[in-house]
This record gives sequence, C-alpha cells and structure tokens, in this order.
Amino acid sequence: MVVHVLDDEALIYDPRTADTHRLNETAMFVWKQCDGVQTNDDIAVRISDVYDVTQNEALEHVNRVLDEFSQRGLLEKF
Amino acid sequence: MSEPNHFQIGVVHVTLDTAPRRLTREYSSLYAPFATLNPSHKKVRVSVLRTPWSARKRRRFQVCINGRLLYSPTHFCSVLPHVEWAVSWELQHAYPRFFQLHAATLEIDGMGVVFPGQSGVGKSTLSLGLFNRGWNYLCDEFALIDAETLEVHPYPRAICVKEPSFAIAESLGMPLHGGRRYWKGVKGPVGFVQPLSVRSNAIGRACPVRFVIFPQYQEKAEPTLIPMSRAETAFQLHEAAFNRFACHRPAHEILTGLVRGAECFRLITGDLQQTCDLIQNLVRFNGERCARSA
Repeated sequence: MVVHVLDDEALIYDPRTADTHRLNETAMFVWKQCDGVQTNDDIAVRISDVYDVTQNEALEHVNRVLDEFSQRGLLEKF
Repeated sequence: MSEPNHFQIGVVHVTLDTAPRRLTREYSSLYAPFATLNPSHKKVRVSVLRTPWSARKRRRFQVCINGRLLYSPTHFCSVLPHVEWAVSWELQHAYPRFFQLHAATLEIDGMGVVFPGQSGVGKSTLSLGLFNRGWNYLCDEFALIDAETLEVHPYPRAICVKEPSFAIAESLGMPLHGGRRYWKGVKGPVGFVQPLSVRSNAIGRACPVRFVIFPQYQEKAEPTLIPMSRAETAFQLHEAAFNRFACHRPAHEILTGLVRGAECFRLITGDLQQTCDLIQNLVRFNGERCARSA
C-alpha cells in the first residue's frame, strides 16, 4: 500500500488491485489510529476529543469508516 | 508544389503519410505554421485510406495511426476531427514519458493552469476566452505532463470549437479556420481555430503546474471558485488520466507530486468574460503573493 499524505488528507494506492482511494480528513484521522491495538471505542474517544462530536456520533462514524476500509481491502483484521 | 506532410506540433511530431488530396490540403493549411522538413523518428504517422467500391457495403474512410486502424468515418466532413482525435489517442503509446490528462492547458507568466474535465464542460471555450486575454496556449484537450519534471508541455493542436461556441469564437476575433465546419460524431458540428493565426506568439512554454481548476458550465450561473483539497484533486485527476497504467512512472506518484505544487479549485462557469475575470484575479493574486515572498 502506498500512502501519499496531502495536507490533512491522503491518497492511497493499492498495488494489488491498482485502485486509488482518497481519504478525507476524518477518514485519515481514523486510518492513523489503526495500529492493531486501539479498539473502535478508543478511536471514537480520540475523535470526540479533537472534533466537536459526541462519543456516540464518533463511534458511529468510526464503525462506518472501518467498514468502508475493510470492504476496500485497506485493513487487515487482527 | 506538394503540400508539406511533416509537422512538429509542440512536442508532438506528426507525419501525414497517405491521405485524400483534399484532406492533405486542409490539414496542411491548418497546421502550416508547424510544418517542418526534419521529421523525427519518434512520431505519429497518419494515413487515411478509402475502402474499395462494393455493391453491398458503403465506402468508408479508414483513419490509421502507425499502421493501426482506429476509426472508419463514412463522410469526408468527419475525417479531420477523427484524425485529430486519433493523433491525440496515439500519444500515450508514442510518448510514454508524458502523463496524459483530459484537460485544457494554458500558460501565463511561466505558470501552468490545467482545466481538467470531460467533453462539454467548457474547456475549449474557456481556453478561447483566456487566450484572447493574452494567455499562452498549450492545448485545449490534453495536458501532457512530463513524468519526471511534472512540467506541462505544449501540444498546441488547433482549438476544436463546438457549434454552440462558434459565435463566441467569432466575437473574440477568432474565426474558424477556412470558415470550414466538420462533423465530430455525437459532438455534432465543430470547427477549428488555429491559435497562431490569431497571435504570432500564441504558444506557451513548458512550465510547472500552479493551478488545477475543474470547470463546470452552468447557464446563467454566477462564476464561482470553490477550493478543493489536494487529495480530492489528485483523485479526480486520476479519473481524468488516459494513460494511468501506460506511463513509465506510477500515476499516483505523478499526481500527488503535481498537486503539491498547485492550488486546486472547482469552478462554476457562467458568462465567459466574468469567468475569465475571476480566473485572472486568482492568478494575478497568486503571482503578486509569490513576488512578495521572493
């Protein structure tokens, strides 16, 4: 996976599929937290610290983004 | 005296090998300023043949590029637009050092401005408007980006104007070349404007890309520039690339390198003059800012 960080966003190239993906600011934030250690709840707490959203809203967003990452083959499950 | 058949159109070398005399005459007239006696070995060879007479099949023209048949228009008035498109289509094979985007490109004060977009978004009309204000022309349909230096290079093919913009071209003092009209498939009637017949110093030089602006025409809309993130721009440019897998350097590297040096916008275009004012102000402001920081 080749990740090009552009300002607060990123362009990710997947050489296995030759697909290119764009991550917006919040998706990029979630991506950076995906270290195989933090849970969805942990990431949601971090998001609610940084952005003006409740933990529930943040968790909903994190779940949606991680689903999307997973469908696009951008994540491995531990 | 025979018509010239070798042309150097910016960085692109074209040789017209075999063609009906009338086509040779019209092509040579359109590209007379680019005629050369020194053909490059690396070039696009065009031949236009006719299928033989047959009682069962309609005769067709065959537009071949470097020996490969690309198009078979039935009417002569469609041949030149197809030759133009075929030459452009061949660039990805003939010139793999260039990353090729579907975009109009112009140069002003050494800055490259790229207007990417599908057919019909107003790229050519915008090119006419800015060209009329002294901007230098690079190409109305393709951005040829050097994969190493990321500079945009000139491929100053004749500006292809669709019928709804004929009157605009005339009003800007840019009549269709020879007053001729052609037929370009679903685009309908088109004509060509030769930039060098409008201004002798019309062609821009290779330069870095400083602005990427995605135009979208909306009738009677107030012209508006909407900032785009660099990641979104690179992603959209990826969609607008012709040779994203054929260029010798990966597309994602080229595009992220390109947008890092550029300001990126979405542009709602409406009235041509107001739209050109808006873009000129943007570029002038950037130029003054660069001068201040230098």
